[in-house]
Amino acid sequence: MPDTPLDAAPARGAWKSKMGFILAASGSAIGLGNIVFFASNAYQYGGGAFYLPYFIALFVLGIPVMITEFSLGTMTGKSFPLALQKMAGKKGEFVGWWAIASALTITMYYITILGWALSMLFGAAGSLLEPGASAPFEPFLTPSAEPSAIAWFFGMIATWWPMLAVVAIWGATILLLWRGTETIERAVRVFVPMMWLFMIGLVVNGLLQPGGVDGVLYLFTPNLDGIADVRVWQGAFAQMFFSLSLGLGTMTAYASYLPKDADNVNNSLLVSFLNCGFEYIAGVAIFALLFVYALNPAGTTLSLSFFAIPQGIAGFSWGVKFFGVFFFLLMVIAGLTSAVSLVEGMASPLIDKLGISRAKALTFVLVPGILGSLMFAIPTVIDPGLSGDGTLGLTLLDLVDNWAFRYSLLTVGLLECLLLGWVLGAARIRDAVNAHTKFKLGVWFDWLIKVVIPVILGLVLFGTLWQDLTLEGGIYGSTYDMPGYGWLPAFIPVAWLVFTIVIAAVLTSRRTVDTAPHAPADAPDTLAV
Amino acid sequence: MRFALLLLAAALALPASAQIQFEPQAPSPDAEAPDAPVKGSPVRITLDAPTETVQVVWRPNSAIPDTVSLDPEGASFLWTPTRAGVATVITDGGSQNVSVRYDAFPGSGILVLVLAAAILFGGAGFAMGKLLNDDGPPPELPLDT
Repeated sequence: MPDTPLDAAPARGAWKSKMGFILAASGSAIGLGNIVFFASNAYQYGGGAFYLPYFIALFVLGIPVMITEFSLGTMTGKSFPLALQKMAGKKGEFVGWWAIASALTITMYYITILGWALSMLFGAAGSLLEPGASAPFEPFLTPSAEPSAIAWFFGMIATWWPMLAVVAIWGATILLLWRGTETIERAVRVFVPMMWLFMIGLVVNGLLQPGGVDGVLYLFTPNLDGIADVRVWQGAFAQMFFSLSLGLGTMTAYASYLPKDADNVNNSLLVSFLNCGFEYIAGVAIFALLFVYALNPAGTTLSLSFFAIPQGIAGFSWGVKFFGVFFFLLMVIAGLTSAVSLVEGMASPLIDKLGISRAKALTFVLVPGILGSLMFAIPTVIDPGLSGDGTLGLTLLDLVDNWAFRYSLLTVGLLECLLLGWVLGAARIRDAVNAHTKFKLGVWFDWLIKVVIPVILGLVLFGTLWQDLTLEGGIYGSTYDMPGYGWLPAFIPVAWLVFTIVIAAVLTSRRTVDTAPHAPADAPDTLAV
Repeated sequence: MRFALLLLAAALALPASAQIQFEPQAPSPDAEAPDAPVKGSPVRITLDAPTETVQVVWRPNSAIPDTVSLDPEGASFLWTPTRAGVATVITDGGSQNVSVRYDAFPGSGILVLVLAAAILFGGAGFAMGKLLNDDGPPPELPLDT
């Protein structure tokens, strides 16, 4: 593959090998959420019984939408908004840019969370897993007699240090993206296997603890009491979408660097199974640990990762600091491979649309991105009683996440399926996919894209909106005691909507520079393994 | 993710500081006492003060918790857990988490563990095999560049 100089015109890269693409796409899908997502939901909804909605969500929604997003990339050689524009016109492009704007919002706070994970990594080597933690909030004012990860975390986010960590994470992300597919491929070849090895290390350690095997059995033994609860199914379908990084434009951007003859069915199966397989072993590692130390795996990413698991590690009889650093290093690596794909998913369409160099596109993402990430790390204490989130940064993160994460991805998925299913025609995608795969898709695929998936996503979105509207105490966040900041819960959803819609409208209205498809003209028709 | 709820859940998830001790007892006179509470084997619960009510919440902080009331006789009494899993024992003075181990391998758990692994890792292996055996690379490129 020829080099892609940073100051050059928009000549685009291509994956050097199929394995490079699979590692990058699976690295994108496997992120912070995967480490704790399955374990948390399985605990919440009946252990092994949760696998029933989980597998239905994987096969009915996850894999078909991934096939569609990969196909968008390989059929057009363009990133998400321009691929949708090619397939479904200007409306499609607007949906694509809105997805990218939402992805920018999510990336901002995702990198802040990664910055906190990096801070916890340094903390694990220092005082995190020792007694004496305190924070400027009501429950944690006096130093703890025992190790307290929750007190340490709140003490940490109330300082300015995480801002340095946030800048470091943005720096690492840009460095990994510097030469496009070339540097991404190099990084994932190290990071993704490392991530698996680290997780297997945690599994082995968990199983060697007394009671660890019982924890694994507890994870998988089905309790059918909760299976009829509609929230179980809602949670499974929503989380499958998030877990596989769908609706963010990243999968289409990555697939656009593949040749047209890529087998999108096999690629989707492989990436999905690797993603869910990682969740499986993460569940084993976490349940073993939590069972041994009798910690309830309630909550999801933040609480499990930052409080419950370090609390368990603090109880180890040996190697406390080693395993603490090990766990947070795993989190940082898993998050970095996802952050890289999120930023590439934004830079790639800017290059396609505006015909600018990679350096300029990365700068356009970096400047608002880093400002947003720093905003979510502001340590000013606005809620000393911890009725909500404590600091201004975490409160903003909580409120933005509630709207951006829970609505935008599923809305993009819904609109994407409707546009491609009804405007372009699902049969055309199926024909294009079937031309290059050994696993031929049947007419059932058309019905999934046109009817079944939109109905499922519509119901999940409606259920989420209904829950929000009928929430006791009013709009989400209005019960927090934040003197002087009580207007934030109402302001944030409006600001987020205006921000994303304006970005989408402006970029849709700009003239598209006629750029070449991603794969360069001299790239081989078929990729090496 | 709803952070405030998560924070609350996390705070609840961490063990409370009540003085409740669990001492596993031998299930029969000729057997040894297990190292940790086991389903079907008695456990002596010792509190720092007598209490009127003791509740055991199985799968606490989940969508399907199950609460069982115990009948304490003073500050020390026997309890025989009827199931395995994570539970919270709540008294008037506080609460304490406890993990109750299985008395035998649960067949349904093993079945789900094996089936899920077969689908996920079998599927990944199958797709990886297809990828690796796919037509072969063009001659000008090495196998893995």
